[in-house]
Amino acid sequence: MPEGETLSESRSRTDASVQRRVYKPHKASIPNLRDYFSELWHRRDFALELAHTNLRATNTNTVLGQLWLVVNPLLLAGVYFLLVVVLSGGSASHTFPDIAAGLFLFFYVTGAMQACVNAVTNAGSLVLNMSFPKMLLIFSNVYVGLRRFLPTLLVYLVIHIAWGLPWSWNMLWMLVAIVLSTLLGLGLGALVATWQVYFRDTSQFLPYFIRIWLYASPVLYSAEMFLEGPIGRHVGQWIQLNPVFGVLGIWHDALAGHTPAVSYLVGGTIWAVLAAVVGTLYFISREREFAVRL
Amino acid sequence: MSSLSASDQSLERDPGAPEPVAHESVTGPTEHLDDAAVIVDDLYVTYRVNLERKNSLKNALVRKARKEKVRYREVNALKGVSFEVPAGKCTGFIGANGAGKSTLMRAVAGILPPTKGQIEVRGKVSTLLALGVGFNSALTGRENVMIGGLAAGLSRAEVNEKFEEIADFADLGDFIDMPMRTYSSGMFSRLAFSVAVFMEPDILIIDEALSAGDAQFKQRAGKKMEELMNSAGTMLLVSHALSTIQELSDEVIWLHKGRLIKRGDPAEVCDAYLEFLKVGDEAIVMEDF
Repeated sequence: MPEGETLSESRSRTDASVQRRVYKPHKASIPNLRDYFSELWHRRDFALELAHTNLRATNTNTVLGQLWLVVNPLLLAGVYFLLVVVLSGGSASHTFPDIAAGLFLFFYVTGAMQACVNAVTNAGSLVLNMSFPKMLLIFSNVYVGLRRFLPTLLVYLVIHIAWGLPWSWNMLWMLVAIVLSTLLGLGLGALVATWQVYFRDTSQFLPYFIRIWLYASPVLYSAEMFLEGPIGRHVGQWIQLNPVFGVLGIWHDALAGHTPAVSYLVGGTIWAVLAAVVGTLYFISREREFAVRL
Repeated sequence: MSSLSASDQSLERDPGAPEPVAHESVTGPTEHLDDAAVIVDDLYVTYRVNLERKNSLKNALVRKARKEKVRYREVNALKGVSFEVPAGKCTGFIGANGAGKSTLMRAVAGILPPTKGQIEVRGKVSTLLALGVGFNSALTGRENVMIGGLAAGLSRAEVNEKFEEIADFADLGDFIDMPMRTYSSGMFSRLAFSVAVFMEPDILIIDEALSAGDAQFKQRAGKKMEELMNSAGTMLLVSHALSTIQELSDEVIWLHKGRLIKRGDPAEVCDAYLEFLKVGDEAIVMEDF
């Protein structure tokens, strides 16, 4: 294909019954978004079914599968609690519920990314033999991530009760954090899925990247410690550039029964919307090329 | 990718082998019929084949550090193909391996983007390019009918409505509720074929998929295809089985190395194709001795 010549599809209806499509090479790489998203909406059942297939095939809907979804993050939370709080001599202000809650939300975002990274490359036969908006694959995998996240939310509520933590209406801000995390996971998932098509080792780098990202995020330490504590001296306000910083700030404030700080709300929303829009547009602009590259 | 560079020559199969001469039936301008279901206009599809063993970031960085260029070759799968398929007619496509038949079908289905030229499609397209697309062998036949139907663009309600018909046609008995990994390959293709033909598309694209199942199923499949044809479905059919092609097609198009060679009456085009194959064979035999 000549350099810079990406393709798009224009589509119109000549009359109510017959669909007319014209496929041609196109300079502008993003197709008509209204048509694209209406087609996506028509095919939402397919995305859901793909996700359910995925969950069924990986036994996520069995008792042991569900149990593993709960036990795995719980064990990880235990490991990090041991590392950060117990072994450091109890100097950290973070408690076990804080660490568990932070990890669960962080793993929701990164879990969605890990589910998405192979979304296109693993769907080779679908991409090569069916014509459909490929964002379906991303939505489907983010939904898989959400379904895996929900049981851990229940686990957190049990921890919340067991630790006798207070309840407050401000905990409803958790929903905002979950929505923003979903957008973040969607956008970043679309980005890594596209890179994976060009560079097949993206999925191998991803776990290392996620591990570093975890240590650079207010998961094991509170957001305040990052800003004001000893870590803050090194990173200062730059930490706001971490896409999950605001979302985790909202999350922890909500769980503690506070109204989230405005800076968290603004930062978290900007990052989530930016990631979702940029990731989605990047993916859509490249998706006609996927069939050639698989 | 900006760092890529093409070698001057594109890849070609059998360079120097005798080439069929394009017949006058394909050299004229495309007629834009009002009732055409598919209009292909001067279509070029070029693949860029990466010659790296693995297309990875690591390889790309190593190459950059060594200031080497990424090696790739271009394959011109289709070179200026123009034709139209009238609504309600069946057009068959024949040609040797690597003629570009599958590429052409994928381009018409909107899967592969054209490099040059354009394709106009009027109507809902259903493809049977490979059997069992989207199927998951860990799940039962019943679940796979749903996923296959949804993949082909039906709604959940529509698949449920057609389920009995599909299951009856595939005739799998109790196996419909068994995981698909327990199926024989014939059973697998029977179910996949059934899912595809019950989609009621305006335009059906079939690539080498008629050989599904045993003799009895083949007979029923053939009948179903005729039924589809009679319900005014437009069909694009790729097959190496020339008898099937002649039986089902109203017109046959012969492709060779990405170019149209001849189109017209099925028997006539198939004869010309066979005639050419024979010449090709003799040429090879002559070279050997």
